[in-house]
Amino acid sequence: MWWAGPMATTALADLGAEVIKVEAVQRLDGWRGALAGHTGSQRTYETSPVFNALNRNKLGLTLNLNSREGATIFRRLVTMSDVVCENYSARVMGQFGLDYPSLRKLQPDIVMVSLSGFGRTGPCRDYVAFAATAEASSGIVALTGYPGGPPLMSGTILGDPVPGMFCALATASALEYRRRTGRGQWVDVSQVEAATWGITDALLEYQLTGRLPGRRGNRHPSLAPHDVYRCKGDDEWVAIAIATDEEWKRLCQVLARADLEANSRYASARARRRNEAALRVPIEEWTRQHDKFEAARILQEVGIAAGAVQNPADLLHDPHLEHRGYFQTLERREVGTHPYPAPVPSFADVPRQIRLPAPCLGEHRQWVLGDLLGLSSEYLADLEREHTTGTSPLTAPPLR
Amino acid sequence: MFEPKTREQKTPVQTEERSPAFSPREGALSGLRVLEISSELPAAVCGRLLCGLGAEVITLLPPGGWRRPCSTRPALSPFVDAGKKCVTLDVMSPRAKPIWRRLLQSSDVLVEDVPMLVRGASNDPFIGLESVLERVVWTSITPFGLTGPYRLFHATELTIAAMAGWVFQTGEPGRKPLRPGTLFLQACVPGVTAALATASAVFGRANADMGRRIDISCMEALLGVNRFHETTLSYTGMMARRVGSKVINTYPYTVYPCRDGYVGALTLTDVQWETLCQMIGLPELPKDPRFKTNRDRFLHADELDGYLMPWFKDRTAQECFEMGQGWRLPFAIVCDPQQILSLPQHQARGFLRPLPRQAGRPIVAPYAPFIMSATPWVVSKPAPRRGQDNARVYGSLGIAAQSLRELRREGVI
Repeated sequence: MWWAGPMATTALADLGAEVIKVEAVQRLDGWRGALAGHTGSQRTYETSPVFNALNRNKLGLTLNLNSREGATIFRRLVTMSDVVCENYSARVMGQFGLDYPSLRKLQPDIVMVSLSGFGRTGPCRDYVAFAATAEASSGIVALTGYPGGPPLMSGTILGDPVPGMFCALATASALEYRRRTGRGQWVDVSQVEAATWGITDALLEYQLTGRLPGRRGNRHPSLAPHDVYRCKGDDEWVAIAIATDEEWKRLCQVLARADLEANSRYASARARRRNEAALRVPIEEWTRQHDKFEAARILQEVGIAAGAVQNPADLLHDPHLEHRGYFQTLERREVGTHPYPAPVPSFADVPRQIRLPAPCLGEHRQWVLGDLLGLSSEYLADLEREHTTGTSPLTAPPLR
Repeated sequence: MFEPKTREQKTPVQTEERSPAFSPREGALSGLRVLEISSELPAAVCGRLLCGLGAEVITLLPPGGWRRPCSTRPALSPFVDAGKKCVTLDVMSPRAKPIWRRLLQSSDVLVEDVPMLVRGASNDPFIGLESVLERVVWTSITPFGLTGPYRLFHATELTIAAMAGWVFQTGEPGRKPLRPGTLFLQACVPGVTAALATASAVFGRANADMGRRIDISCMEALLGVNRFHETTLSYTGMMARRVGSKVINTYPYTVYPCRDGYVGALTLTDVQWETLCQMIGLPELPKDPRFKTNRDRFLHADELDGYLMPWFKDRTAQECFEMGQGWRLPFAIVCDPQQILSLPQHQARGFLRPLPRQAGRPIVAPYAPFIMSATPWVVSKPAPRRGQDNARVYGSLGIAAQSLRELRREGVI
């Protein structure tokens, strides 16, 4: 539930895998409460934009794994499946009797993927973690912020989705290994480790220089100017990155500041980096005359890397994303028609599309339990009466 | 629309029990040959991940030096190229075509970030090789993708992150927005996205529905791990904004200063909130109407911090972390690189290991980003020297030493 594990399975679903998302009417995915309740539906647990955007292309099943019936049904599903992906804390699957050794007895070539905050071994294996926990432990927070200021959480809260992508990579690779050898395996993904992989540059820099990298804002280790600059409008910015002395000259020409080009304080990348703070004023004298898109366009035309700092409204109307079909409009029960992100890899031979909206609670239980497993409608009715499965939550996640 | 797939009942595959002494050296992608052309980090990260998974990864570098010496890729070569082989080849030279063709014919995968301005130009390395390229998994990683009005835009990690929505939402309200983490993080995300798509295409080669020409846009890869603000805007009309170290409508979910550092402290549920108040000796605080729900607590965050902050400031980060976890609260120390290198958890799991290097003092680096029970991560060799494997790789293709000398004189290798 939440983000990391579902991110991994969504990435696989986007690549064509049939993914059955298992929730329980006793305990829904916590993200069903995130930013929910704005579309008028009484079933607020169906109205979270983040849950619905994340869980595209999946089938929905509810199953109470705490019940004997639920666990038995799950075991039958395992015998028909290639992968089991879970992101519970370390003890939970064992408590269900559904840990890897148990599942391997049922299906020797099963690939089981377990994603948790700190991993399934080590002194922190039982610690509680969420995205921000992983982000803090990984170094991302310590390395984000204004120079001289406190550490800042990233607005993107990367401690969940980045490990989720690593988890999907491990799963796909395990499947390829199984295809060649017939052997399954267990994959243990630590969110902290996967997120730490992403700041390897800082770890290497510290060891090679003896100096902690610290918080640099938007500065680059060697390039300058390299930052975001105010444009016309409220909270509108353009990112500019000058990589070579030739690009610096072109920037000076755009700014109509031959004096800067001639100034030895800015003659080389190293010199510009040393004196970068002084460049903000002359650059912003120019950027503030333009909106961010116009500023970026002018700079791009002279071969300078520049880009508008885009917000969600900008992205929804971005002509490039529109051309590439990144946001796709989909109708879904309880919420109506809205844009959702499409799968990221684009394959030349396969249309890039969202096949299914995120499932409503237990939406596909009839197909999974009835058609796939062959359970009778009477038995299904019993299961619903006992809340082993169902479509209405016994407790909905709190709204936030 | 949901259309159920037909499926056969799986018959469990019987595998022999492994001897406890059995220690396979085979990686998950062993047997795969990957050619990598990478001027920038995302393609190099993709190759690094495939290499760690056991693939044979051969980087092709131009004989004259890095195509973009100013990019961040050369500086991180000791890490991103560890375990790979390296040949030199000017793939944009017509003289290189025959040898380039033979390399492709011997390979399963091509990962490349050839500049967009080169594609379709006279020195396009892919012209004339269509029949060979059809049989490889061909992954192109570019800043904005192979199509679209931005495809020819000049880009760096910062500008891509800005255009992908990563920058506007990080930072303090009223101050300039920031890119999160490090430059490598912004390269890692498209790199792992590309590796996933590549591995999936390799797995799906038997399935005709699975395309083998893969277009990875770094911008889209970054957008893909963002928090769905665009869909949220459509549902709610609410625009995401910079809120410093907070999450809208959930609090506490922030970073608190401690006596000797910082700790990330969050409570997602009301139960966790009440537990936190018990822990810090303020059990009546949840009854305060200002702090009743997550949204209330977010709206009154400054007032709430007035109660909570002294508790954290009185303790070290380690004490806060251990106490919070003892109460089953998802606290974490905000670790800097120095702290990361000595974390007991990493030592126990072997996450940080000596980085194989050609020269220089020993350093450690992240090893495997995940642990696979049957297929170990495979990185045992240092990053190769330029052209280190010319003789071996070209020799294996049957290219005579005399021919190699001629090609070297012509600057092709």
